[in-house]
Parts: sequence; structure tokens; C-alpha cells
Amino acid sequence: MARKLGLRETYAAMTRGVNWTPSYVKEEEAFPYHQFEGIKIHDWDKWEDPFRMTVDNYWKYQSEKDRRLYAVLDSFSQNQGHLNISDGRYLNAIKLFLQGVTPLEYMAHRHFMFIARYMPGPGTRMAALCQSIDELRHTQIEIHSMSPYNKYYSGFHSMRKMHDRVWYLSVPKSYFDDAVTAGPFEFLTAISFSFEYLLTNLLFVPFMSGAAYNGDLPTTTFGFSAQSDESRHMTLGLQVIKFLLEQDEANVPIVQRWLDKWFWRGYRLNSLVAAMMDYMLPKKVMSWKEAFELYFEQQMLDGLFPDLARYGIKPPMGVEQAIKEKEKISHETYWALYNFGFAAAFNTWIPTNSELDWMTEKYPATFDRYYRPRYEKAQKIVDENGRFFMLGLPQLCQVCQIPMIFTEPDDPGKICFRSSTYKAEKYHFCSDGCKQIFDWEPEKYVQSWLPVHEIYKGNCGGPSVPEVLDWYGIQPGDNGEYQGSVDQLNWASWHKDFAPV
Amino acid sequence: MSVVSLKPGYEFPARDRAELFGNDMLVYTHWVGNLMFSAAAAFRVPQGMPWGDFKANMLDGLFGGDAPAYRQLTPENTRWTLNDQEFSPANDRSLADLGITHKDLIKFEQVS
Ligand SMILES: [Fe+2]
Ligand SMILES: [Fe+2]
Repeated sequence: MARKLGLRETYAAMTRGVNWTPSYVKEEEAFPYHQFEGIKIHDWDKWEDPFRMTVDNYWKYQSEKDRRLYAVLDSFSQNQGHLNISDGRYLNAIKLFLQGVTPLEYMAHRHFMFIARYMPGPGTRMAALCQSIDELRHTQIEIHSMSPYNKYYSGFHSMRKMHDRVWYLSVPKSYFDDAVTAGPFEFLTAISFSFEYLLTNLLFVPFMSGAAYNGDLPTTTFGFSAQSDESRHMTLGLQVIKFLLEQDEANVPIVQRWLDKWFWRGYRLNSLVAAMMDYMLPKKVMSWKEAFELYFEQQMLDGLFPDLARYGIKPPMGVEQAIKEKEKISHETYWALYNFGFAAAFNTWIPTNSELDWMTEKYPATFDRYYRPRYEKAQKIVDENGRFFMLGLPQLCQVCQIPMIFTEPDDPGKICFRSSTYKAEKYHFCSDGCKQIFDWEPEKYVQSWLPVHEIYKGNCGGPSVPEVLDWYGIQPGDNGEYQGSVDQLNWASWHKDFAPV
Repeated sequence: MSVVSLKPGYEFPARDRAELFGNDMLVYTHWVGNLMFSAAAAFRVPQGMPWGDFKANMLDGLFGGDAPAYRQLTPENTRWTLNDQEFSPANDRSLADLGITHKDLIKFEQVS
């Protein structure tokens, strides 16, 4: 009987061992995409496999995690676990996650499969294949974890359609579309490094600890189930960047440009997470500002970048501005969601008094001076039986596609407007970072599918708000004010026996 | 040095170019100093629309959402700019006459 191979040997056999040099077609016909970006790779075998995962190990490990997850989901559904979350408002964070992030997991699955086919290095292909399967599994378990809420709450029903159509979801969608339409090395720098390494803790940790704090067992369990994959993906991200930088000095400026672009793209995307953290969690984990300081300033700027300096890599463009903005972006973003809440597939509300005080405490430099007065004014309108909306459509940034809501780095009272002209057409941007990204590659961003302009071109179901909402897949109750909404009334009636008298 | 990640010949028409809007155009308007409105508003308007109609039918409806503040604005205390240049709108002149073109940014502000 043949001797059983050890883990290391199995891995080598599975990657390098079954690799072959094509003979029926030319090398560049089999692998046509890895050269036009200008990246030079001299020795693919220098790719250090961060995790030597073999197929049998992978199945064993993942199926064990799945068994545990589905056991939790079953008992959660049987025991009406949704009644134990902190407050009905909380689920709006999860709606945003399901509509905005889950479809990105699926896109990641698709494009890592592309990388797994088209990179010439067998180690890289195997790593990408594993991540592709992980991402498909994430898509699936997220949908399964969140679907128990669909029975009882609005906004959970049409995530796939909404992701392609709804205005604020064009922010995550266009971010990922930008990455998958880039070359393979830029994609890896964008997703494996900038997203999975640089910014992942800012996205993942707040959502998962937010879920734990607010009694959301399915999302917490999903988080644990995905965590070991995430740490593999982070390690892969770091491996990608070091491999590129070590292979050829000429790669350094190319990688630097991608880091500059993708830090800013990812950071702008995270403004939705910032709003979620500070405003949508009834039980707060930490403020956006604190998360940014811990996960970005300490872990990345002080931890990682000194290490990358020996390759000639500098901290990415826009870092100074992001640090200044930590006092502002959650407030500016949530206020926009409140403004245009009539067209969102989740509910918005004015924070309670104790929540407003929490913001004052966490944001002493800005909150009372710039943001609290808006909520007081909005509250006055509520007291007179109204609801403040901005009843129109906002100007959008051509690159990040967020409404032009961000203020000048040094003046929270003044909106930041930047613009460029390219081939006699004007383009508008929310920041120096987005303008720079456009100016580097205008050919790409002149094609942006901007939801507001698409509505005005007649491509979104019709000219009126109800027609557009219908085309978005938004049903009555999904959108608008939380107080008095279907979800709030249901929540109150399910809990009336426990309400203080 | 140049870093190019697009293939040579990569070129597409602008998705929101002026010609697609025919005799209309997109115009953005921002109320400086009133961030109850989180962003500038975008409108699709006929180029030949008189300024007075644009203001009455579009701006008043939207920005009137903050009624107490909007009521305080008068022609005398309001400063207008077009693409950050001084600008004097006149009710009977058309937007095109006033020099407003596709994707221009109009701002107004209470100055006293
Ligand atoms: Fe994932
Ligand atoms: Fe932007």
C-alpha cells in the first residue's frame, strides 16, 4: 500500500506537483491577463503559501463549522430568538449589511475564481481557489443567518435586486465593480490587501461585536464561522503585497498608486459602517472614532507601514484627511441617510437623548457645535407632527458615488466641492482623494452609473418617487421613519407585556 | 512615471454627457451654510426655462423644507454664485441666457 503523504507533501503535490507547462497553446494564450498592468514577476515559486490548506482538511474544518452554525440557526428560529435582540432599530444595521455587503461576498467568490484560473503561479492559484470557495460559503451563510428575520421585519426581502439598483448601494457595488474590472494584480491589491488587510477590522469587528452586544445570535455565530477564513484572507493580502514588492523594484510605484487609490476607495465605503456603528446600534460597542484609532491608526499606520517602508512604500494618499475626518464622517453620513430616508430600504430615526449625549461625549470637538442642532431642529418638526426629509435628489461624487455630503477637512460647516473637466464634460467629487482617482483614470469613471443621473435619464422605472421605489424593490414600510413604522409597531406589540407601566 | 492599468485603446463615451439630455441639462444647487440639507440638490431642467420658474418650481419646493430659515431669504440678503463666480440671476432670463450649462454648480447663501 502506498505511504500516506504528510500535510506538507500533500500540499506540495496538490499545488506545484500537479502544475504543468502548457504545450498545445502558448503560455500567453493560457494566461493572457497578468502582464498589461506592468507588474514583473520573475519567480512564481517565491510565493510563500501563507496557509497550507489541503482539500480534505478544508472540507473537514468547514463542514464542522457549518454544522454548528445551522444548529444555532435552528434553535434561534424555534425559540423566536428575534424577540431577544436589544431593540427593533438594531436590525436596520443588518439590513444594510445584507443589502450592501453580502452581494460583495458573492462578487469576491466570482473574481477569486477568475484569479484561480488566470494567474500563472500555482501557489497563487490554490490560495485564490480556497478564498473563492470561502466567499461563496460566506454569501450562503450570511443569507441563511439573516433570513430568519425576513419573516418578521421589513427590508430583508430583495437584497440582490436592491444591490443593483438602490442609490446608496451603488457605493459598495461600484467599489467592487471597479476592482473586478481592473487587472488581476490590481484586484489583489484592492481586495486582498487594501480591503481584507488594511480595512477589514473596521468593517468586520464593529458588525460582529455590534451583533453580540445587541443579542443578534445568528449574525454573531456567522461572524465566528467566518473569522478563521478572514484571518487566512488577511494573511493572503499581506503575502500578495510583499510578493509584488520583492519580485521587482519596478513594481513599487505601481503598487503605491494602487494603495493610494484603494485605501481611499475603501475608506469612503467605510463611511456607511461609521454611520451604522454610531447611529444604528442601540447598544454601542465603541465609536467610529475609537475604532478608527485602534484598527487603522494604531494597527496599520503605526504597525504595518513602518514595515513596508523598507520597500519604499509610503502610507496611502488621504491618510491625513481620514484622520481629521474621524470626528465627522459618521455624523455626515447618517444625516444624509436621515435626509433621504424616504428612498432607503431601511428605517432611520432621531437618536434618543441619551444617545445624543453619548455622541457629545465621544465627539466633543464637533458634535454639539455642528451636528446636534440638526437633530434638535428635526425633533421640533417631529413635535409638530412632521418629518424632515430632503425632498429631492442629491449631487453625487463621480468616484465613490456617495452624495456630496463631506465637509472640508478643516471646516465641518462647509461642504467640500472638487471638480475636473475631461473632454469638455464636467465631473464633481467629494474630496481631493476622489478627484485624484478620477484624474488618474478618467476613461474608467466617465462610465460611472450614478443613480441620480440614471433616474433623470428615465432608466429607473419612471420620474416619480413611488415609481423609482417600486423599481428599487422597496415596499411600503421598508423605507422612511422608524417611529410609527411597521417594524416599530410590531416590535412594540410583541413586547407590550414587558413594557414598563 | 506613468502607471497605467487600462489596456491601450480603452475608451468609452461619457455616460451622462450633455447630448443625452437633449434640450435639458443637469444643474446642482447648494445652500451654503445650511447643512439641514446634507448635499447639493440635483435637478434636470430645460435650458430655456426662465430663472423665475426654476426658482419657484424647483428651488422653493425643495429648500422650503426648512421653512423658517428659507423665509428669511430675500433678494437683497442672498448671494448667488455659479461655479463659484459671482452671479446675478434675473427672473425673466432663461438658464442658458444666464450662462448656466450642463452639470454646473449654483450656490446661494444668506449674507446678512
Ligand atoms: Fe468573505
Ligand atoms: Fe467621493
